[in-house]
Amino acid sequence: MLGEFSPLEIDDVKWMLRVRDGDEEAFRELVEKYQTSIRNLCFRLIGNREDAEEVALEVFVQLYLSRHRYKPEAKLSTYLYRIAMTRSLNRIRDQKRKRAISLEFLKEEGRLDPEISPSDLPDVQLEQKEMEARVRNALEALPEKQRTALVLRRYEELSYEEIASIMGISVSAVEALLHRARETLRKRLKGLFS
Amino acid sequence: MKCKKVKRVLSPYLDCALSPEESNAVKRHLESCSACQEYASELEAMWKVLDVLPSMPENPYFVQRVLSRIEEKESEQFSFVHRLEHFLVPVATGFALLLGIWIGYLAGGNGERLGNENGNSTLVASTEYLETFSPLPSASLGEVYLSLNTELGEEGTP
Repeated sequence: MLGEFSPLEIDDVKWMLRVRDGDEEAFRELVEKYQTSIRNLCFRLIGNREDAEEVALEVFVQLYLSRHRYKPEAKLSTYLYRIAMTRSLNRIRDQKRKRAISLEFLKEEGRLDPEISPSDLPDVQLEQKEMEARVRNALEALPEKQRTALVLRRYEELSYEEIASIMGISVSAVEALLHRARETLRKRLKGLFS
Repeated sequence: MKCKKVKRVLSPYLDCALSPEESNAVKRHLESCSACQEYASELEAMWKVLDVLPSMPENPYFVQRVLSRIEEKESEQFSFVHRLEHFLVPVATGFALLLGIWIGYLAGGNGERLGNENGNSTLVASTEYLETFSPLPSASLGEVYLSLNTELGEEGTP
């Protein structure tokens, strides 16, 4: 079974088997190794640092609490990315629900402020912040699957096969999602690069 | 390769996810088609713009936070089991007590029901096991009880 893994992945399997047997030091090593990728993935999917930090934390807690059920069948990174993706998307849905409720509340109370326009920001920060905000908004406006595929490809630099495995879809579906995501972003962000 | 097909495979082409043959075909098309070339350049430029999103800042306490959270979760689970034990023990004891009473009731109901003139019946204890005490000392309580019961039983028998 281990023949299907690369040497680096075999290391992961060995670490994870040690974690399964209750080796806390091995778990610590695994968190150290994957924390950057998982925290960044959550951040880019959710778009909010506090929530991303919390979700990333939950990913590793889940990994530890389910360690007894671990079987070295899939790559550990795939398993972690999958948990991170699922939890992040759940968090986004929760946020949307809460936002809808609070917007409704503000509307009812008549306390809804007009949107802050970019011109209200200090000049020094304007360009960078505005670009960042536009990119973030464009990403957030993408449908969930397109956004996930794009983030995994663009920022985590995963192969189409890995993305397909994480998302539980075919490679051709990943191709289609990335094609549509790129096309949408090209139109929405045109002002930033042309 | 036609423009429509090229546009469809540009994404995997830019990601180097096409076969060498397909990739060469796209490359040749781009060299000869300015519209597709411009489209590909825009996609590449857009891809670079995505760099503007910052990464999460390093958190030196992340591992420690994970370990603390695990500890919290485990103690929550332990206290749940503990609470469950606190709840289950009295419930199980109460159940055992009720079961004992029920079994006792069933066993105690093994007496004889004797009728009287008015058609009422009276439950008396079974004499079946009183033989165990034989021979009873004469004029002892047991002997009187046994003789009374035997007489009553005979009278009550149709």
